[in-house]
Amino acid sequence: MKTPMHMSMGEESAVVGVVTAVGEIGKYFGYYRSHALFLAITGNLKSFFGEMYGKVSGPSGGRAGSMHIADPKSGLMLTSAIVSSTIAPAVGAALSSKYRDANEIAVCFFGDGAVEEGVFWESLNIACLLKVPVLFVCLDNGLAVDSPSFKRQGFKSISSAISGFNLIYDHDDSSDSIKVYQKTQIIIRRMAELKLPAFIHIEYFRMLQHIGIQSDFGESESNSTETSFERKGYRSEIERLNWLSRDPLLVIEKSARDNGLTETDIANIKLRIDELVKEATQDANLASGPSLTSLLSHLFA
Amino acid sequence: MTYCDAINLSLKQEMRRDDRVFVYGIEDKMFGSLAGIQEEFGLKRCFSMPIAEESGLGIGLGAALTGLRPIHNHIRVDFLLLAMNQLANLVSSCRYGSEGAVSVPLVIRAVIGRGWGQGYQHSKSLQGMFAQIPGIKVVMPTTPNDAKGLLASAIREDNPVLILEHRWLYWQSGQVEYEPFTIEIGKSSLKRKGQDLTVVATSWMNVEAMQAAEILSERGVELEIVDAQSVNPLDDTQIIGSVNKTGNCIVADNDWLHCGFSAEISTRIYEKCWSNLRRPIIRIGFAPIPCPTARDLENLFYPNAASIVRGAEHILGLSPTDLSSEDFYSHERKFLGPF
Repeated sequence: MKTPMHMSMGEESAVVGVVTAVGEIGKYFGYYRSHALFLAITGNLKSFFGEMYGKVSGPSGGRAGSMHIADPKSGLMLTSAIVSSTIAPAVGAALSSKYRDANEIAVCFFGDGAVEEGVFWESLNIACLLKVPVLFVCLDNGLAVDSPSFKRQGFKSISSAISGFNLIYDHDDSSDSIKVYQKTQIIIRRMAELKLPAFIHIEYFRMLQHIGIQSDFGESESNSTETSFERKGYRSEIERLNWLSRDPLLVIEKSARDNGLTETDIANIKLRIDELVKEATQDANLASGPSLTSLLSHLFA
Repeated sequence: MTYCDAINLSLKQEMRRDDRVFVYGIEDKMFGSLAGIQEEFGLKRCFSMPIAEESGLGIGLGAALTGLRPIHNHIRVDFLLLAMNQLANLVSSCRYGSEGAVSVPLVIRAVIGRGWGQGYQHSKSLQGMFAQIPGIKVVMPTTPNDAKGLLASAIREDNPVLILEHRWLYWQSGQVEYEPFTIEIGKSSLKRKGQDLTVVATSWMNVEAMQAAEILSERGVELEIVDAQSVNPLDDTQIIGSVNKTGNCIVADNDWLHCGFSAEISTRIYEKCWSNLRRPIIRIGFAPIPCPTARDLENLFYPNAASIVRGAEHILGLSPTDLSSEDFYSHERKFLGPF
């Protein structure tokens, strides 16, 4: 896979909970950590791996890659590598929904770091002023690459910073997709009643490094690192162990058992997932790359 | 009607024709070009926004991706720069990056050019810079008729189009086709026929070129003026044909020269008219400095008809024309048309 990937391990419950609650009326906007978002919306593993492998089977024929993956016809309108950059477009989609009297909600996913960008505040202000149906979802893992929140935020908390805005606010740190789903359902109803935007602040644990498949615990391989992406050892083992018990996958498994699924059921689900992933990656391997003569096409309509 | 009224009429006709078109910006006047629009179409389709250029443009992108056709106004191109992240990093790459799955029918109108002594943050043009980014179309209407037709085309295009409207063209009166019509984006526009020297001009420089043409005509020298009009895409057929005919060329761009649009035009002419060019091209544009506020310096920053006359004299080997009794355009002496 020749495209830098920001992995979704840890954010599954947040994304799946929100997307399942909003469903098909959602116009979704994400940032560069959008694998869970793409899969939650489309469920299309073949398409996903096609895009990662840079093949024609991807939704953008490999042109977008991991950081800009989108599938507009399914509702995933836009993702972007630039922090905070899809928040204003999400407000635009909400304005559009209101303009057309359509039953659509714009949903924008962004990290805690996005709250530092000016355009976030501009977009929040306009959304609350114009009272458009946008759901802001702040996926807060407490880090911007390797930099913790206290080094970046000149305010007490995200909730206190946005408390003056006319919106519906909620918070979750349960790592429980069912809880997030239920909260989001309530929020959507209130958005429709009060005709206001909403903001869900979801705290979660980023399992791996900012980018790639390594863990950022332990020592760095080299003494000096060129980028903050490569640094390790900036999170404590205690923190990690605290969150491990709240791994969204463990939480949903427990819910499944509590709701009557047997160990065999669960094992079968896991097997099936492995099968699907294997099929999808094989598919992507076999798919062809984009034709070289297509280089200049689709610049303009 | 004036350039301003022509834009106003075009907006109204397009908004009547298509419910999805709406116009917005930080203020809701845009130098008079929005007169009567809020009254006719309501606040839903013509409204002002908080002072937030970047999110304003991002909102346009989101609306364009979800079925609407926004027109985002900026009273100065200098202010549009705050929205460059959205324009250069998102809008321009949306269609290409999605392999054609989406298109962005967004129009951005930005006013360029002189007010009076407004200085370096109210004086940019930057068409070369915007046009350099693949995925954005850029046009610069000169006459009221051009403004009406190009705006209609831009609105009907399913692509992002940036329209740069020069402030000093707004008061200009001219013949305008009343019924809705479009001007093909990409083509240049012949503004004056002549056989001695081609002036390729952009925007306001067409007016200066016209005055230069009148001055030189008295000496029997006839300028041909080709309004480049479309900065991106640019079908240079007409420009090349003109220079092949006259053999002499001045490029008068309403912008800085270094790395500007004038460099693009000149290169194309050198590539395609090599054997017919008698002398090297002269490029005329802004002085290579930020625009100063003091009037005496501001006058030196901007080229005018005199610069074009001197350029033509240099190329054609003519003695200098006496320009001491010429009246040039200024904030106090406006160009009122017709072109």
